[in-house]
Amino acid sequence: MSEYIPKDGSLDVSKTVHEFMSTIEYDPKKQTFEELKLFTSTQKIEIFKLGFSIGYVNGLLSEGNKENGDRKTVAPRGFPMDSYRLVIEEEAVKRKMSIGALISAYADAGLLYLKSHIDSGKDLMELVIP
Amino acid sequence: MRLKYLVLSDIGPFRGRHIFDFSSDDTRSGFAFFAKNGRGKTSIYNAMKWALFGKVRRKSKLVNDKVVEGALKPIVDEQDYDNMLMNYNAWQDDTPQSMSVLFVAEGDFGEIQVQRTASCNGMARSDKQMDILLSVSLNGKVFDGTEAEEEIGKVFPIELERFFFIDGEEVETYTTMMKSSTQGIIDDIKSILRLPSLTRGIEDLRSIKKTYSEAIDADNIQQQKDLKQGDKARTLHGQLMMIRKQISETEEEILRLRERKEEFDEKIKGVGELQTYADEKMRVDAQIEILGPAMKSNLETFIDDFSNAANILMWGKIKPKYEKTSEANDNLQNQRFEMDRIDGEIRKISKTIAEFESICDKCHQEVPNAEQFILEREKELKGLEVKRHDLKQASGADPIKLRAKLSALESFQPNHGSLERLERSYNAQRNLVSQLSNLHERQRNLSDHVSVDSAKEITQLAQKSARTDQALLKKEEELRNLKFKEDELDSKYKNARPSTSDSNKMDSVYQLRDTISRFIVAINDTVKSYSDKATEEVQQEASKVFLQLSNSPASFSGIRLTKQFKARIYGSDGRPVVGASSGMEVIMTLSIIDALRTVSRLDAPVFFDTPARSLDKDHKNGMLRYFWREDRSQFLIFAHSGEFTVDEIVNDEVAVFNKAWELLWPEDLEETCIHCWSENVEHVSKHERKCADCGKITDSRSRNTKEKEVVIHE
Repeated sequence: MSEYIPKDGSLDVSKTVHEFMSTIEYDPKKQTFEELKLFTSTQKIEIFKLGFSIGYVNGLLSEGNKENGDRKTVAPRGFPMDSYRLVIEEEAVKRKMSIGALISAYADAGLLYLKSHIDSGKDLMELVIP
Repeated sequence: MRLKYLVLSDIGPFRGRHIFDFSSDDTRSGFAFFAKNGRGKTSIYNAMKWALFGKVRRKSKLVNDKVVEGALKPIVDEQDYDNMLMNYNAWQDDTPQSMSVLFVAEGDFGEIQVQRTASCNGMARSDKQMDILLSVSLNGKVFDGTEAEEEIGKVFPIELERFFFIDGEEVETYTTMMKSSTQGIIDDIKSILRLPSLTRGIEDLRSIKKTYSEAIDADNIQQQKDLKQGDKARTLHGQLMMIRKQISETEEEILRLRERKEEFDEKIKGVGELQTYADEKMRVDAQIEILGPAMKSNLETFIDDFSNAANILMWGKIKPKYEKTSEANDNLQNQRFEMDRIDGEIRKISKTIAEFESICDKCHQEVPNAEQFILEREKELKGLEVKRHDLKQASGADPIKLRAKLSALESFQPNHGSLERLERSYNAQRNLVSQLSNLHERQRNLSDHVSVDSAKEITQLAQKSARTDQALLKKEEELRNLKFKEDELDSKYKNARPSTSDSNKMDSVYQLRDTISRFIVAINDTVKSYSDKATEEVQQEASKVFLQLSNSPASFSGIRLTKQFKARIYGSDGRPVVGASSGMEVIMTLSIIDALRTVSRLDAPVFFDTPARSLDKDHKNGMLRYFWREDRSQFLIFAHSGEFTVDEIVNDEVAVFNKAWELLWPEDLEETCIHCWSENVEHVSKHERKCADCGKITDSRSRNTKEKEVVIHE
């Protein structure tokens, strides 16, 4: 029996996370300086990476990634899949998941955690600074 | 006005000083001088005219319906002694020569004393050699020269001379003039009605108007000429007018804007204390507005810095793995370096063995034992091969895969200083958000004080005031530019236009001419109205006097005057009297003269020389009865013996005078002293008689007059 080699797969997030992402997205045309904005429309992949980092560093893994119907695809442009594969390939083999699915699971969980952190009024930097 | 004294010195037949006292408590108006010809009646009459007016004329004549004034009578005349004013003996005998008249009168104005003196240190042969001195004292204030003439003119207007100095010989001339309405009588009548002062004003104004009209015509001609000559000037003038219109409009607009701004400011003041809150709110609003760009800039910096957050966080987890991989990679590299070195040694030793020629490859000396040398080298080579094998066994990992893994892990490494930058921009963002929150809080609090409506109102007012301010500044700038252009155009226009016309000056000239025209019309209307009224009044008054003077008043209705002052006597049947007697006509003239004096309110004595000439006894008596009565102006007659005599007047009781004098030469009283009127005289020679009372001699040949007051025993 040959060894399982995980495919790249696609990147996506849950609907809840997707909606949350839209609330922290900065639109230069809107004068919303008092609200917390973390990225621009061209930096969506960066906030996805942050979500992965939060999930991966804190060991948070979303289980909802299997509910494909409610998920929103994240455009993979600029996402260094090979680098992430290196980091999580062993785990992906163990879990028999594609690299993209595992990354998405971490990112989804990480972003939900970020949302609850912000919602609870905690300082953002507590989450970011190791 | 009443004459009080008349003092004559060496004038006419009056040698030396002669005082006539007219002052009296008696209110009757009659005064008389009775004399034969040459005794000085007319000299007294002339002396008063000379004192008042400085000149005496011979009688005027009527030539072709025009009054020709007589020539001036000289003070001294070598060629015609009889007609000169100065006393002949004084002129011949005295050194220095002098002639003077003192005239004293009183009236509403107070007392006036007029003294005119003509003198010469030597023998004057003509008036040019005489010094004339005039002195007027009005209520004690003394005037001389022109001022003195002016003061006399106020009391005795020279243009009215004819109406208080009446010459009986000229009355007939007057009568003829009145019947034919000559220009002379019209002028005189207008004079006494004071119309010349008005009509002179019209003439002056007409003259000024004419000057202005000429100036306007000249300017128009010049302007037309100039405009024809210069299209440029016309164009510039048009532009100048346009600019001036714009300036006027802009100035009006500025005024309007200023009023509007004041109105807004006033309303803003009216909002009261809300203004403080509104001002504060405006400041907060402004701060929020100012904070916006700073926040936007900082937020974009923070978002940029925050893009490193994923790696910063990830690196904490990845870093140990990276370091371990990096160490493995370093070790592998070191092993490969050692293996490369060993390979080099092996190649070198193998080459030494293969190419050995009994020379040591290290010290390059001949080897004593060649076999031993080869064996040692082969042993060394074997040892190196074992070591290489061991190294190869120990490394195990694929170096390419290891480098790829290391490279992949390195991609999670954050940029240098990215964490510090993120913290800095994050803190800055938090501060700004905090500031903004505070400002919004403050804004909300202020909004509680200043309702939306009032704030809106204040804001709108402030905005309107500010907009008005801006508009005002803009208009003021426009006005400055327009005035600058106006100056430029004006300068160009003046250069282009010949300098003969000054538009401002000409505007004034137009205005003055129009004003003068209006004045002239107004004065003409006034003159006409006054003239009509005065003529009517004179006609009524003259008719009244005429009926009183007439010896048969029932036959007449009165006198009528046309607008041209042509006089006619009208009968009681309402028709003009045809073939009136000369006496009746003289009475008509006197009536009109007196009526004119009454209407003109001329209050001055009447000096009537030879008054009864051409009058029969009834008319003479009627005249005296009328003029010699109480409470009217003094009426002085200078009557010669053919007109009136003292006995006749006194005995017939036609009238009672106030005072009267007889003017006498010595020859008139053969048995009387001319000095004291004593009849106690003794003839001492053919022509001389000596007074026993005063001792003085009376020479019957003397032509010097003495006055004797007539005493009436009532």
